[in-house]
Amino acid sequence: MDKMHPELERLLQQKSYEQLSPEEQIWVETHCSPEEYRQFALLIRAASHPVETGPSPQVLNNLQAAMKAKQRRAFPLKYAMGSKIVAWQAAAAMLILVFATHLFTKNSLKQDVNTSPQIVYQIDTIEQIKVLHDTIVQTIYAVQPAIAAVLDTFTPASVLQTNPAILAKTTPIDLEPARIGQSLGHSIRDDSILMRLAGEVR
Amino acid sequence: MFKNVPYDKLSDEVLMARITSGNAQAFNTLYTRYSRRMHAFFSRMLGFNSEKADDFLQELFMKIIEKPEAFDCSRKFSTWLYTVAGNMCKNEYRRMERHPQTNQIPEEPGEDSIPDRIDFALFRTELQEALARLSPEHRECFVLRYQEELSTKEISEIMDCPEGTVRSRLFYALRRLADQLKIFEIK
Repeated sequence: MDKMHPELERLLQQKSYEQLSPEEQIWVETHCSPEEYRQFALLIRAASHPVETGPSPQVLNNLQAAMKAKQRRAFPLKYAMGSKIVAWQAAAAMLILVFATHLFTKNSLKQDVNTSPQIVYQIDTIEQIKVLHDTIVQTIYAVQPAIAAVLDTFTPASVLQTNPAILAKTTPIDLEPARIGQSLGHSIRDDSILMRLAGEVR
Repeated sequence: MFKNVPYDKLSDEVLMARITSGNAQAFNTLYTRYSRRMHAFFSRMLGFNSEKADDFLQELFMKIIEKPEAFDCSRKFSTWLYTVAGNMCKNEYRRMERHPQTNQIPEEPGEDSIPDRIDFALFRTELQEALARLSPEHRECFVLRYQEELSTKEISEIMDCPEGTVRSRLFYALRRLADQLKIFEIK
């Protein structure tokens, strides 16, 4: 026989040779000698004896650390949500949040109360007009009250005088003739023409 | 489905599925369930070296942490675990063959060590030493059957061989061990 018979194995695990019935002994001896049976039974009994020593607690600690590290890598958001923080830190964060919210709300209300309709002037373009005269204009026709038109468009008097439709809408302004050699590069504010025009409007 | 079932009532396979999704409690439960058994298995397979058994146990469960998807949930977990553990031991035997160290495989008992009567504790010590002298296949078969008390069917799955081969190996291992331990007279 070169294989372990299931029935022989059962007998080996349950009975010593002496506990076998005469029939069992006869059957057993067709597979092995009584001495072998005793040896086998002893071996099986000795083998099944539990090992006294268990694993070191350090093994579990190491494995739990590895498990946490893996969780951190695989589920960073879940880990962050599940991580514990100290109670006082949580309380401090809540207080700061409440205080900040309160301040923000208070300032917002104050702003709302003080707000009244106001015209806000905003300068985004500065234009500097520089007029270089090489001919002294003696008469300027201004279309009142659009003084700006005079400044923007310098229409020669000869053209105005030949156009009765425009001429009818204009009022001649008496101007001092500019002296030859007078500087013409003065600022608009000091311009005698403009000052006159301003006086006319008022 | 298993949401309200306590972890210790869950099957190994369900726990493994939870470990795959990063559940630490499932891992702790599985470790508690198998750590002692697997430590004893490694201890018996590796010459009762408890420190070595610790290292192997840690390595085994590290495999579960790092690659839980390696386990096919349609298989029985314990069978898979013993297969992995058995392969680790075989690798260790190969490593030991390549780099032999003194006193790793016990010498055959000498004539002067024959006791007058059976001392069971001594017999067990001698048995472990005799086991270490068996071939890896015979040793694994013997340990899984008589120490881990697995069925021959489970062993055949773990060792990937027919049940008949398992029974042959068991009988051979018993004969070989009995021959080596003949010094212990049975009265």
